[in-house]
Amino acid sequence: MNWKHVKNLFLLLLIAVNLLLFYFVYSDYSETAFTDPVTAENVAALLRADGISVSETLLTKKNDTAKTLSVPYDREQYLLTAAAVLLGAAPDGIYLLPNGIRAETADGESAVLLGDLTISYRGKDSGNAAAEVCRQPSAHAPLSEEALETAVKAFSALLDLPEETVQAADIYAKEGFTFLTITQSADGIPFSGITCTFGMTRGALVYAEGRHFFGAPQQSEEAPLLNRVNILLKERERGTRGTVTDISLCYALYEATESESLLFVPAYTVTYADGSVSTVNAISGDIVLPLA
Amino acid sequence: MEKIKKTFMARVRNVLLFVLTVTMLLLAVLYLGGSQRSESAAALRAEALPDGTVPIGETVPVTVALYQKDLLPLAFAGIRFQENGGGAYGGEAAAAALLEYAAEPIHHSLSGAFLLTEVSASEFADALRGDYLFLDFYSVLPYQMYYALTGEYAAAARSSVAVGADRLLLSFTEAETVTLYLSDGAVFYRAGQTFAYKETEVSAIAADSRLSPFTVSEKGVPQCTAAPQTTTLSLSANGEISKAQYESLLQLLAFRTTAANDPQSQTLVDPHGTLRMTPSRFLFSASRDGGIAVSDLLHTPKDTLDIDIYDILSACISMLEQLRITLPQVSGEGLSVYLDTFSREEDIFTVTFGAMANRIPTGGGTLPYLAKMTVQNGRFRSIELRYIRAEFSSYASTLFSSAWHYAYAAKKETPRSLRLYYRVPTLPTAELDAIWYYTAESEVAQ
Repeated sequence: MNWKHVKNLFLLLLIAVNLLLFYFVYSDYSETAFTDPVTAENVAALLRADGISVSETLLTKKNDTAKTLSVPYDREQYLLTAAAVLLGAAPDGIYLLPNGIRAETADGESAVLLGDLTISYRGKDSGNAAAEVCRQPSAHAPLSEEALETAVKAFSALLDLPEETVQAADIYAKEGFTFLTITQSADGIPFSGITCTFGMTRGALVYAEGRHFFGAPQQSEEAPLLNRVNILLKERERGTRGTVTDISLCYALYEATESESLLFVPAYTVTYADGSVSTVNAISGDIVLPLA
Repeated sequence: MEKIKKTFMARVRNVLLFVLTVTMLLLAVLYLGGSQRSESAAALRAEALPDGTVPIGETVPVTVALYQKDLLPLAFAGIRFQENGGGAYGGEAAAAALLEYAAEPIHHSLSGAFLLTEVSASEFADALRGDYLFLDFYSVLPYQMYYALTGEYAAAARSSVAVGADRLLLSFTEAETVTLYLSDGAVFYRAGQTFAYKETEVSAIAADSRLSPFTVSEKGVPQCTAAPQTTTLSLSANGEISKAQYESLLQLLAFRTTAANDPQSQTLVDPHGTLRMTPSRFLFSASRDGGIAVSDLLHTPKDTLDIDIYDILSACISMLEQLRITLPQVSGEGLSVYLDTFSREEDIFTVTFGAMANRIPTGGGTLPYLAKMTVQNGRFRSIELRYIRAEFSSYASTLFSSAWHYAYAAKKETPRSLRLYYRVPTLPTAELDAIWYYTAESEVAQ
């Protein structure tokens, strides 16, 4: 037997099988990772007929991928922990509100924390002044490098956030206060509706207003996401009308009471030309109502 | 040179074989992995948002289990433990606390592969001479209903005969176990399974300052020295329902809503049954092969052949709840409901519910029940709702105690039961007061 011929034959067979498998893998990848142009064109026409205008370019962009994140979460316990972070110490008094708590210290500081992660805090001495300054539409003063570095370190310590996260946020000075406006995110995907402004003076936190989660996702799981075509078809089903200018990923937050965890579920923010925005759960296609 | 070239080519061939084999395996894994991922996408989707998940900040909807729906019609609860104790009437918080404690031992005693055995009246009377927790109910219910309405149900204890009871006695023994007795005042049963109790826990319950002195007769009739306070009621049967409510009712009873014309229509006929409306009630009667599937009212659908008595109970309760949501103003708004009867004749189950005001039943010839349902072969054969509407007066009456009434009645004949009722002579009725009613032992002989 001429092994050389057998080997050559086997080699040719392997090349053929590899080419075939490569073709299957590539087809599979391109079907799942992209919407083909013909489908995009047809869907755009279908949507246009029902009042939704969308560019085919938006539909043929590479499909997004994201994982579902989670962290252990007990609402009551979390509110107490968050209150301690804001007040700088465990609160002396807790008062129940319809959807949250008001935490107070013996020296008169108080913070309101709600179940939807809303926080409102005014430091005893300068809190109200900081709030007033923050509300003013005047221009922000840029920080020097040294001041920026100090501010990053201070906010990072006060809010228990990584320095890189703080550095990436918007830090500015205004009338003696240093403010940090942060929209939380994970893996570059922002948390929907979770934006907060913190104010500091002389190294002490004196102001907080907005929504913030004092913690970070710890676990992640594969999440099969609906693609942009599916999302816009869901919008069509709901009777939405308008010109879509952008579709981007975000995380919508859910509480899973049975497993006592906070879920960060991938969602799409669909922005329309008239300024309206829909947030759509990227797994179920259900609309995510905006946080009040 | 030729030889070197041949050796080199052979090596290249071998390397290529190796590389292509490895590449083939990698591509195969990639391809199969991708297919598996898409197949499991639906399951992953379901896992990503498990049941009970709500957007951040929203209130989590609470599922109320059957035993949490407060359907047992408690008339009186009393405890005697180590020279402490007392009793309270069914509408009082102290009685509810005793029932809440008793639920677990009752449920445990009535579960599992144990028998209920008949015992003598003297054994029951002996148990009343020791430490015990006694519960008196308005209705004689099958023991399976006590089992289902005191905890999550799976399999109740067995009995060779049908056992119904309206009085339960938990006897605390020195061995720190509780034995359950059931009785209807004439026949007495003991549960085969006992329950371990904690002395400190029972002592604390018996020391409740809200409890009043009481005794229990040998046949299980409580006599409490406290004077109950009751509210005066006005009751009416206003049968006016709106068109929207009528359409919702038709939907609930699986009638074609296109057939809805006038809410005051007398009769509506569909292939699955007939709906008769009167000013004082409505009655659904199934056609011969029709009816409403019990499974449709269950949390988890079930095959008709797998429907058991607990499914029937659950479906009937669910139907009543839906009716009260659909027709609130005529289905006893302001009144609470209770399980009145659960009976079986051959393959037909009959379930009735009553209405209570401040935990005292309303009833009488004009209002024998609030709702009555019959189930056969996994389908509702009839559903009846009697319209009732209650208004509470701000006036409260203080009645003589049950102990006083027992002593008064006992002059003539021994009471077999003594309980408070709002007896409804006619509808509408105004200024209705709760009154003590008793049945005599002589009735049993008859």
